Amino acid sequence: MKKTAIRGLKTAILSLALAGLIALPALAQEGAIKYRQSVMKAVGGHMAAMGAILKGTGGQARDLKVHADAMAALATVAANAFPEGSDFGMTRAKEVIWENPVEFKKVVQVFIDESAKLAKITASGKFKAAAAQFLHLGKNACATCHKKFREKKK
Amino acid sequence: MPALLPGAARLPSLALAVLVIAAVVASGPAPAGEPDPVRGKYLFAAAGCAACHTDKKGKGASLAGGRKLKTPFGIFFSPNITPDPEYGIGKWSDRDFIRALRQGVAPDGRHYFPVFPYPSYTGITDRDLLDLKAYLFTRPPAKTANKPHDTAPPFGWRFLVPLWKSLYFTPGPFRADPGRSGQWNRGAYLVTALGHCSECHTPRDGLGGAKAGMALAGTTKGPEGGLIPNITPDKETGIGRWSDGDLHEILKTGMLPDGDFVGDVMGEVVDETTGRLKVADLKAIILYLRSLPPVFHRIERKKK
Repeated sequence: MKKTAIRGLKTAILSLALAGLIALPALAQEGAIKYRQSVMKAVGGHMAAMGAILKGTGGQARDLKVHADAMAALATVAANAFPEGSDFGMTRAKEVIWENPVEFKKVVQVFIDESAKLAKITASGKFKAAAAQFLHLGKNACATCHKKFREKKK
Repeated sequence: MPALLPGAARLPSLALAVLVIAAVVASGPAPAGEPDPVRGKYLFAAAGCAACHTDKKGKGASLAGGRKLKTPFGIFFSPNITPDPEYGIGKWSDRDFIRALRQGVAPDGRHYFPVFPYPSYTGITDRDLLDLKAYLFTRPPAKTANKPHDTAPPFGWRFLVPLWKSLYFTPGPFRADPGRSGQWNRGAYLVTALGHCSECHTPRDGLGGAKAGMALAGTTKGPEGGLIPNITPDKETGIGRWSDGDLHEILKTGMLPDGDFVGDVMGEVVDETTGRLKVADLKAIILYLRSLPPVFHRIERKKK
C-alpha cells in the first residue's frame, strides 16, 4: 500500500519534471517567436508609413527620416530575431532558415545594407531617390525573404 | 462515388459539347496579320506562364516545366513549353496551340487536367494566343522530359476529364460587354482570361469546380494549402475598404496596406505578372474588381 503511494508520488514528480523540461524551452521559443513577430510588425509599420509619405497619401515628408532611421536600426535587430530553436510553435518562419543559415544570412544582410542606404539617401533629402530605394528595399529584402523563408498563411 | 452521378446524367450534353468543340476548332478563323512576339512577351507576363512552367527550386531551364504543383487533387508536374521539337511544343501548329489553351486538349487528343488553367485561358482571343505562341517560339529550347503526375484515383483518371469539363468548363473567347466601358472590359479580360485570378481566388467544390456565386471570394484551400484572400469588394471580408492606391501597390510592388510584402504564390504573381503590367492595365483590373458583386466570405487563419 505504502509502496504504491510512493511509486505514485515518484511518477508524479518525474512527470512534472519531464513536463517542465519540455514546457520551459517551448515557453522560451514562444517568447522568441512573439518577439520576432513584434519586430516584424514594427518593420511593416515603418514600411507602410514611408509608403504613405512617399506616395503623398499621408504623413509629412520631414518625418520620412524618422522612419528610415528606425528601419535601418530595426534591420540589425531583425538579424538577431531568429535564434536557434525558434522554429517550433505558431510561426511561419520556415525551417530552411536554420537548415541553410548561410543563405538566410545573405538575405538578412541585404535587408541591413539596403535599409542603411535608404536612411542615407533620406538624410540627404533626395525624395525621388528615396522613393526608388524604398521600392528596391521592399523587393530585394522584404519580398525576397518572404518568398524564400516564410511559410504561406494556413 | 455518388458525387459523380449527377455528371452521368449529363452525358448527352457532353456529347453535344464535344461536337460543338469539334465544329469550332475545325472552322477556327485565323486572325489577320503576322503574329507579333513583342506583343506576345507582354501577354506571356500577363498570363503568368513562367511561374508554373519553370522549376525554379530545382534550377530547371526556363519554361522547361517540371515544377511541382501540389493540389488537393494530387501532385502535378508542369510540362515543357519551350520550342524544343522533341520535349517541348516545337512541333505544335497554331491550331494545336489554340486548341490546347481554348479547349484544354493536347495535339494528340488527350484532355488536360484542369490544373492547367484552361478554364480561364479559354477566354484569350485568337490574336493574343498566336502572339503568345510567337513569343514562346523565340525562347531557347530545352531538352527536358515531362514528368508524370502523381495523383490518386479518381483524380488521376484522365478519361474522367471530359466529364469534368462538361460540368464545369465553358469554352470560348472573352466577349466584351457592350454595356460597359472599354476599360472595364479590358480589366475583365485581364482578370478572368489572361490573369486567371479565379484559379486560386475562387473556392472550389469537392470535384474541383468553381463554386457558383463565389467568384474571387477566397478560399482556405489554396494551392499548396495556403489561405487565399477574398478579393471581392465586400467591406468586411474583402477589399471593399482598400483604396485604389492600396490595390495598385499590392499588384505593382507586392506591398500590403500594413507594410508587409507578400511572399509565396502571390509574391511570384507580382514578380512575373502584375508587377510587369502597364499602369493602364492595373487601373483596368482595379476598376473591374471594384465592380464585382461583394461576397461576404471570411478567410481566416486556423486557430491552434
